[in-house]
Amino acid sequence: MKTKLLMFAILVALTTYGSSCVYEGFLIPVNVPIAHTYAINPGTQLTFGDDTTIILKDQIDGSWVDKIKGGRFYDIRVSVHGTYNGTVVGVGYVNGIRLLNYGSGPNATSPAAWSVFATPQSLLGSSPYIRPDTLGINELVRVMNQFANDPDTRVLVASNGTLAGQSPVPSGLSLTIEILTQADAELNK
Amino acid sequence: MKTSLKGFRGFLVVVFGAALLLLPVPAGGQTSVENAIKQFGETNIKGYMQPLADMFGANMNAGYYHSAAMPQTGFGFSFDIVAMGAMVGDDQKNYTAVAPAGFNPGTFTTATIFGEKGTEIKNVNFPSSTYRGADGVFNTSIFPTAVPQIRIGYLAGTEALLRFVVVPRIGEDVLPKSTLWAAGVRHSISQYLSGAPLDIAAGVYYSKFTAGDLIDFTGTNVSVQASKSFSVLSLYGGVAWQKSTLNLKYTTTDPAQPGAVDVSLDGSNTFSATLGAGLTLGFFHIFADANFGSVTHFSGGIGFGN
Repeated sequence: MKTKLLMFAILVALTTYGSSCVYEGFLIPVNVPIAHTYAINPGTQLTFGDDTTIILKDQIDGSWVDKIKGGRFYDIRVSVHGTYNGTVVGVGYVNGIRLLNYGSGPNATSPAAWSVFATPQSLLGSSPYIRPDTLGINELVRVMNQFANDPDTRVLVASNGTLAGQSPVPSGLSLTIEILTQADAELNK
Repeated sequence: MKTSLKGFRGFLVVVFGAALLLLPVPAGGQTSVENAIKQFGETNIKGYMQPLADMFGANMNAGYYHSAAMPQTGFGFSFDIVAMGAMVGDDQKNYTAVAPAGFNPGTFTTATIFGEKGTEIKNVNFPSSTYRGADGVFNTSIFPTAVPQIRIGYLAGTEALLRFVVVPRIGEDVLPKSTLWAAGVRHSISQYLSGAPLDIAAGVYYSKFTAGDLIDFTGTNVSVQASKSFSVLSLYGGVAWQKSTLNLKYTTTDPAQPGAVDVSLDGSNTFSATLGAGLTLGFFHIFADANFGSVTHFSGGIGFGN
């Protein structure tokens, strides 16, 4: 009987120690992709545009949703798919607010060769082919902060643009805008 | 940050020394820790988890023996509960993480799994762009583990050892199925050395731990053991070569380093020396030892048997 009691006491001691060694409420930054691919129809129509609503909680594992405590964005990327012997210029929006221009020139408002975007052009890469807009960036930051308080936070992302230089437009073209964000999930709370 | 872990989960931390496994899990899905690991790209998961590979590897290779004395024949059986603790150094609480490509600064110092708060950095070229490392999980200077084991002998001065624990997925709030096992054998050398002042044995042990779909650990230990008994007291020690590897295999959600991640983290301990003492009171044993190598760790426990 004494040995059983001793064994129990040792297990309790170990349990107590193990219980005390994990932080309460530690944060794991979770990747929250906000991305949309804008299909470009083949034919003689040289403009394209589309919008979609992204529900942030659908972008992460369901187990994180009620644990989000904050968020941030760190990069925006624009890339194209398909071969087009011409140019593209356009605007990306978040919740109806201009987030960036993509193209060439000082403000990325002039047509840029389509092939430039075959390699993703990113904010972090200091790409001259994308120009972020402060108002859109602020809206993005606001949305990520809102996600901490409202798991149902939605983001309306949109883009419209214009092609030039080759008509008709071949099939299989698309343009993707990715907004790379993190949301902090609080665990063991 | 405060520290706690509630209920039965706390016990499981000790048994497996992997409290990461004890986080909430949706029914049928992966645990939150498995999802947490997936947030890391290949480069940063190495830095974040390497100290765990070091600590867990050291612990899993500890506590295999507490005497080198073995009879040539006869039946011997012992059930032991062995607790291990590896010392966590300050240099294992932070690592140099890699920021997403193009970020300025390109690297930053942040918490490992044994660290404190993760570091948040701003992009010098575009301050609205910020990036954060994960917080540490374990707030401890000694990383604990405990396992049950049985030892059975003796055939020509040879003893077998087995560790085995299976923890099924528990409830909606606990861990994935985890399995730990180890097997080993040791053989008396002193039986060939008449008049040897010490009992001497040599042993080889293999251990394996799997948790969920992502985590896999293996350990190997080859040791030369010696002991000397003085009535109920015995002093023991030895030297060991050991290898341990923590394997992580998953598909990351990190857009900065997308794709499959398959990393093997070798524990830093390769050679260690052990010094310990034990008391035998009939069928009851109590023992404790210190192990010195790249990682300093301790083990001790109680045993029942002959």
